[in-house]
Amino acid sequence: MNPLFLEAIQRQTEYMTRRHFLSKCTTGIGAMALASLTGCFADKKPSQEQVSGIVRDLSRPFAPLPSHFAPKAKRVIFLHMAGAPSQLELFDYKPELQKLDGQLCPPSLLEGKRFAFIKGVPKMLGPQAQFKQYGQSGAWVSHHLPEFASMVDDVSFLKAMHTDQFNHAPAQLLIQTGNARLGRPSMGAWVTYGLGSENENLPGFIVLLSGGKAPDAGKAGYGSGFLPTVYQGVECRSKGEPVLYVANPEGMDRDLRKASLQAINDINRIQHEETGDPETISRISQYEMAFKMQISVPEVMDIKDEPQWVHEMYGTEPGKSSFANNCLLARRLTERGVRFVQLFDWGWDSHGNDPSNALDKGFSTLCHNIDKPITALLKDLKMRGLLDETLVVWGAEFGRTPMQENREGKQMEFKGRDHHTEAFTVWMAGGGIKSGYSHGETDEIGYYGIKDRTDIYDLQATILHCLGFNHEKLTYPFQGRNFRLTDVHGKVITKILV
Amino acid sequence: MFTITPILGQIENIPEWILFLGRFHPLIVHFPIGMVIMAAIIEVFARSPKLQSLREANSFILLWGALGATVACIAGFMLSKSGGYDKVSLKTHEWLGYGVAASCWFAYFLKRSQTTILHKIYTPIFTGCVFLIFAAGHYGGNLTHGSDYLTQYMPQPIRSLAGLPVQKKEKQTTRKITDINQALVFEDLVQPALEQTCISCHNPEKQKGDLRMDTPKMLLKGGKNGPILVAGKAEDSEMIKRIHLPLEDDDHMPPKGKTQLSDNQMAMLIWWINEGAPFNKKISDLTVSEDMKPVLASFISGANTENKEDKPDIINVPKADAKAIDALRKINVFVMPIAQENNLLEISFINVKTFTDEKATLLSPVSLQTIWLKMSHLAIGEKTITEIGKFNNLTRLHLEYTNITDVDLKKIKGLNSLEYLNLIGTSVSDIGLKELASLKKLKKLYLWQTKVTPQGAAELQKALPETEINLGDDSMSGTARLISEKK
Repeated sequence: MNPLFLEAIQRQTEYMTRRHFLSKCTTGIGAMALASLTGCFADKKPSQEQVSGIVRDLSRPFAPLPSHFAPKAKRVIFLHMAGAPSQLELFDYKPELQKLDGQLCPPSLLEGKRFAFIKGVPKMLGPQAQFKQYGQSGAWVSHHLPEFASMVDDVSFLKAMHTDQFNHAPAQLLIQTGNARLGRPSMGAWVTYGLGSENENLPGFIVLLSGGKAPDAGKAGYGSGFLPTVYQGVECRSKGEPVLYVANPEGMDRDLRKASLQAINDINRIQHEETGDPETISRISQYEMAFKMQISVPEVMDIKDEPQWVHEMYGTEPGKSSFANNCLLARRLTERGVRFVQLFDWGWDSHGNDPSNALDKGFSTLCHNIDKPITALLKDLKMRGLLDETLVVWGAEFGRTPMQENREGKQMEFKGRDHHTEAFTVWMAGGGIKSGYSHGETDEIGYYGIKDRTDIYDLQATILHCLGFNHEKLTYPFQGRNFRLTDVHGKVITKILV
Repeated sequence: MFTITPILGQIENIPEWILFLGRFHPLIVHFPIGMVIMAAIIEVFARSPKLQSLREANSFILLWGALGATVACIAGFMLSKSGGYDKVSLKTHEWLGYGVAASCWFAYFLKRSQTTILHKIYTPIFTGCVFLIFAAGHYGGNLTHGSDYLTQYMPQPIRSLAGLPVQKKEKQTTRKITDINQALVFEDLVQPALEQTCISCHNPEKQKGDLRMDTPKMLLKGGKNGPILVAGKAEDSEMIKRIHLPLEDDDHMPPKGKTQLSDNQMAMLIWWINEGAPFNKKISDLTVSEDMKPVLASFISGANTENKEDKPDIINVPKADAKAIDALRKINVFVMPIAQENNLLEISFINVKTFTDEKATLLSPVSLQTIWLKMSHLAIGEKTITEIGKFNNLTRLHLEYTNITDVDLKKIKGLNSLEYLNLIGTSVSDIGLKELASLKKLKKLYLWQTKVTPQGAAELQKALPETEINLGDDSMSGTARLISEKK
């Protein structure tokens, strides 16, 4: 007989035969006794549902759920500049640093510090940009972002952000999942787990990539960790087929697809009744979602029907893969009630080892590529009345050093800066966030935050707060304890809230 | 036991094991109490011939009572060395305790002796022992819980019978603050905070660390480690240092497990000390920075102080009819409470593809509860807009890309709570816009892709100066044309 059938019969009998029943009973009861003796059952903390009394329908994982308190923002667009752009060339204006340009870095800034590439004593590097103050808030913005400068009165800057990871992958994991190691759910997963999604035909958490390379953290940066896998980010491509393997193969029509999915789901339901594994339910709802997405995703991802002036405003070109296209898609997705839209744009790792990322060369092209789309996104959301209920976050995993990078102790060909954990800039706009505000200050060379320092967990706590969550109460029981995005950290940055 | 008193009394630094064993006093002390009371019950009931045999047990019970009392005395003596108790009450309790132990031993030996004369004095001695144990227990209770613990909630008639003074009500409820600038810094802000968190252990009866915080004078005096506050220098003030230590720190105040100060209370105390720790000034007499304003405002009576997020501005409405919600959900309408344990509703038709005006009646049962309503991209008829006009608590209304007209706006002009109105992509014009002048609470109005002209918007702006009217702009530059920006 086909070994597959043999295995199926074997599995089937495991639920039915006396032999298996008896063996499960003996070992099972022993294990339970041991568990209770070792106290595994003793301090089982109640989960979020048990505390709040919300009823979670396992078969509808995206069913909307109320938050802890009335939210200010209903959805999030997170613009992650993977690679970490230099705050010193964009928002954190340091004229003092210009005076120190070319001088050797004092040892006090190097002792006990670890850098990704800096070796020995590097030289200080003055700002490679011209700054001006804009808007009524008087925010400093460099010449690299001329369009965005007109929007400063709509955003709140966090000037003294800091992190404790100096390599891309762990730092990206930290900002997206609250932990520098693999295995935790990402922010978007937490949010869709906590709130469900408004639109029942689209996934609640959509990821859009640009810059020609996925973020170093890989799919773990938008994974579901220990949460049910339905909550992981669905990656949509802005070029070609938006979601791979969702379209019907040749010769299969929608009715046939529907019938086959129906059959698969029925079998899966029987399987779930037998085993009670929640992942089976996840699988059923993923099939159902994929079926809906065959219609809904191509429709939302097709930007051709946007009027010409919109394309000019964003700088989009239909059919191309670009950050601009992703920004326009982000607006289209939020308009349709997608809960969390995560953009990653690679290329910001300005070490100066290559002209494409060098601060005196390719950096201005990179900035140019995001300047128009970001500005258009904010303006577009604003005049559609969406910015009031959408939280837009722009940031990266860390910042860049006030010193010029000297890889292997040598002078670099182009101007670049190394990874810097002590200070970087993030801005937020929209639902629940003050307009035209700046929080935190760095020292005169932009090395350390000296006032109102905020860390990654504070940012996460604040994002959850805007969505109506107490970040300490949004928890999921796993491995015997309740986990949360901010672990044991995080303080809501109340000063930037309306 | 009596012999070691002077020796121990002279030791200044008490060994830790003494303090450790001392803490067992409250644990042990209830054992002899139980024993003596049991003995008393037996004495009473053994008078009946049926239960006479019980009397035999009493000498055994008294022996255990006496032993227990002795151990309790030793532990109690050790505990008294940790200090922080009112001296007079402590001494009374101590000697009453010794009395209990002594009389209990005495009663035990009398009970066991065979001499008839000694038997006669057993009853008065034992009765005395029972009274002593009640007295000692009462004083012990006063030491730990404060002297008014027992009588705090005593009804007034019983109070008068017991000869206690009429309770001062004012002390229980702090004065309501309505105007924060007129509030007295110490009396209205500092003292209530201290009463809530500090005074239970730092009062005339219980003076942990020899510190009293119940009066301004005592606050300034400080405790055994010296003054606790330095006027004008919060960072040098011991009490500020202590409240900021991690909860796990032994020196953290209030101790772990007791009521903690809130963030606002802590900020207020720092500010008060930095302002020179005045005792009789009004808030308006002191300098209040921008950062302090929201903190102080949180002390206004009725302000949502702590965990502001836990209590959104709830308008009290009854729970919506579950059947009405189910009926809406059946036609694919998204209906959800705006937050957990909240009766207010958010309703969105985002998943509804086809909508007919007849279905509008489904909305009427939830007119009171709905504060956010989204009906964009739908063919909305007269009945629907009439229903929406009855949603008196509505704060956010999405009607973008619907077929509503100028006439329809008349029906929603009574929505007094409305803060957000989205009308983009509709055929409304300057004429209909005039109707919106009555929406005094309106903060945001979106009119992109409508027939509204900048002149019409400017006209409305006069009636609603606070409202941000956004006309949008689809010109090539993409610059939003904003009639008004927040100043």
